[in-house]
Amino acid sequence: MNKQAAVIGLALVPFALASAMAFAAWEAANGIEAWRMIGTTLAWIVSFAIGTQIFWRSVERLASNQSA
Amino acid sequence: MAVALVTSYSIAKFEIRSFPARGISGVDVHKPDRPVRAEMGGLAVLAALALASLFYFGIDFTLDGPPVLFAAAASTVVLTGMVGVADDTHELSQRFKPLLIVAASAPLMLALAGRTSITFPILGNVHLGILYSVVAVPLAITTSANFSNLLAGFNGLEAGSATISLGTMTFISEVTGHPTVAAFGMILTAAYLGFLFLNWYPAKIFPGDTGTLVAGAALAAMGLAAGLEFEAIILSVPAAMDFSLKAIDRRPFKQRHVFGNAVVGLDGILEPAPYPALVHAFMKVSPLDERGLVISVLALQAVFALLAVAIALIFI
Repeated sequence: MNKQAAVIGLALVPFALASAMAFAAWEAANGIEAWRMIGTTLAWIVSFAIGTQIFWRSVERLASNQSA
Repeated sequence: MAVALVTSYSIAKFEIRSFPARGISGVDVHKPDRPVRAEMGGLAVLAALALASLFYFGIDFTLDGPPVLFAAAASTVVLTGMVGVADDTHELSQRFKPLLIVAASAPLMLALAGRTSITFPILGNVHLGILYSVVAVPLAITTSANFSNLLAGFNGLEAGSATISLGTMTFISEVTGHPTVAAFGMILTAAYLGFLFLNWYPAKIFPGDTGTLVAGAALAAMGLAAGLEFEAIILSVPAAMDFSLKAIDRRPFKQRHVFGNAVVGLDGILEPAPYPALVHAFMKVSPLDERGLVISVLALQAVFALLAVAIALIFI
């Protein structure tokens, strides 16, 4: 059960990362409104995708620790 | 709410008896004896929505502000359900299906034609102009419907996930002052709960694409109608993660055809198929049977539900 809870905890990483990066992009792109929206959306999507890859690598590490 | 729950349960019971004889059935691949079960159970949810909506309009027609949003959201959800029925019976092409769901979004696009912005926590109002109704609405409905169609395939997963996310949106809609949307959500939550009694492990019926597409479309429709888009996004995160894991791979979305499903042993323990997916993450770290897996994924959904409620209450 602890390992299942760890997976649930790790699953928060993509959302947290994406939200933080989207906020950073929003603050950084303080010029034309349209570019600000596009930049923020792209930052969210790309960070979320990176976050899910971090999640999967961490799960694989957790699984290999278990089988070792 | 009681009407929706009883209708959904009763019609699903009828489907269990009559659908396999008509060939509307599927194999439960995660059981050692691979039993055949009724498919397209989402039709029971649609029937419950239709009947309970009649009661709602009969009782509350004048009390609750303009019912146009309710009617538009219900129309979009039912049309999306019809796409699911077509997919369950005729296997629509993956390119054609999203286009049909875009078309199904038309009632909600028209009802929200005057809205021009989305409110995000911290960022504030993001002005989209006409792009809100023309792009954001169909994009949200199509994306959400397809996301929930991907994170599926285990007894109780789709209906359980729909009950949690739609129940959460109902609560948030009510506390943020959107009683019409809350009523719509309450009907659908009850409908999925009624269906869940028969879909829970060991399932007697599967929701099919009808059930999964309706759940996703309903979540997005509620988020859009109540202006709670960010909360709907949070509730979609588990399904979005599954999408992202399957998309960033050497064989995007073809893995199931290449590698097959998770394999079940005689002891009921699931062995994950060799490709990234959210359900496989839970199977990889410790031995799980189907029931345990579904409880773990629903626990994850519940965590995001709590996060959505917390954000809604903080930024109310």
